[in-house]
Amino acid sequence: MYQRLIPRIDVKDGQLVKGMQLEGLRNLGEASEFVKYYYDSGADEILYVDAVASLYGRNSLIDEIKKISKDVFIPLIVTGGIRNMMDIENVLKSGADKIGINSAAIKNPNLIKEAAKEFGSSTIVVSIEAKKVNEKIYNAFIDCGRDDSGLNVVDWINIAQQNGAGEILITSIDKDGCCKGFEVNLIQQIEKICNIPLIYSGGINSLENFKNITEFQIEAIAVGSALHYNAKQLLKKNKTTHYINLPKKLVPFNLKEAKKLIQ
Amino acid sequence: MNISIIDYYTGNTMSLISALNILGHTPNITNKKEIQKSDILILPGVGSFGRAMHNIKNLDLLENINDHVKKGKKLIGICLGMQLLFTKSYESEVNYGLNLIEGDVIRLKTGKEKIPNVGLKKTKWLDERNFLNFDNKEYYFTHSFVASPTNKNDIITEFSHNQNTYCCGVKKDNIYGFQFHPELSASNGIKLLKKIIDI
Repeated sequence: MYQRLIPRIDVKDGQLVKGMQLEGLRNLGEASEFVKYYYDSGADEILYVDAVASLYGRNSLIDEIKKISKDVFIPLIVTGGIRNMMDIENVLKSGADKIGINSAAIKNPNLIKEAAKEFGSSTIVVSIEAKKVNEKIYNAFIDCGRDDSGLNVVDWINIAQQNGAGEILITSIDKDGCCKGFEVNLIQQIEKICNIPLIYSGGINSLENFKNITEFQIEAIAVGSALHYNAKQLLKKNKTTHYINLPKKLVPFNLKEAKKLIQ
Repeated sequence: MNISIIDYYTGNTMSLISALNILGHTPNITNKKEIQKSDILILPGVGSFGRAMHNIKNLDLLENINDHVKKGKKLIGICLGMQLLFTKSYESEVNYGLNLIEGDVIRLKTGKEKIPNVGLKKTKWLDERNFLNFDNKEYYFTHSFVASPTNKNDIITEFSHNQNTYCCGVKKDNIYGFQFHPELSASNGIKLLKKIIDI
């Protein structure tokens, strides 16, 4: 089986947004248009991150997912602000195929177990926002990357696995949206201990960088900015838009080109 | 054509409904008597085998499903829905299934490839007469267990995981089952779904 390529769609009010280290959001356009474009280009799955739900409550998310799932026939992972069994059920019913839980799972690891039992292990992705706290240690952060849970990512992955998580999504907060390349040390720490599929997200800035990450033992790679700035130019409605204030070191690339490298 | 998706409170059926809509069908999502009027019954499902069978029994669906099959009408099981077609499963504890196809549901063997098995995989079709153009196409899997039919003639397609070959598609009379999700396998899956409905 080859590695999966998953566009990461961070969404606020239906708009694709891109931030730096999960803060300071920039609007890139209609999220559903990007999703459709990536589906047509051959994405393996879509990672749909409700960028602000943890803090501000939900609103239009359910309608957005319903709209997207109508003509996108690949798995849709929805994460961001999912607090309890009811939230999981509602998001799944609206058309998500898997859900990612972060803060709620750290506060109550039993939620993973309960959710896996009710909705199936393969539906439950434990989403971890990892941040370097000293030279060697990465901790899991909660509430949109604001608070240190005090849990080491390695320990947390082990707990999540024991509780029946189906997959791990790890986002390097240090690298998220920074476009400075993926977090090598983090991946090296977790690739060996993770015995369920691992999705890595954060920092990938070029096709070259993407190519390097495929050497690691990860099952799926989520890419945001590097794909979005390429897609933005190709999407009809944005024809006149050029790369404005493109993050330094970012060399956007096309999803189809990236797919060729992993097939 | 009247298509019903059996609603037994497990899993997400939105993708399946959307896929059928694209093919021009408007399925009923039901666990009521209207199942009896269906030309095609689809048994979807994610979650655990034991709980799924528990719900099916509690909703009095057993008889409806069996009647549908006895009339020679088409039944399609997807993912856990395929596993439920079999005699019994060894997931967590032994649970008995619908026993429409003889065989057991077993855990994937461990190895370099992880469990659950998640992602697109090519499958090999054995029924070339009907599925000539489907060989070597990729479908989306997400599962830890697989059905192993006692009668190997029931197998129509196979995949491999950790170098072991497993069944991922069955056909027995008018009963079909797929371990992967056609509705999440982009255009390959939609084509297959169309084929199974039209066949």
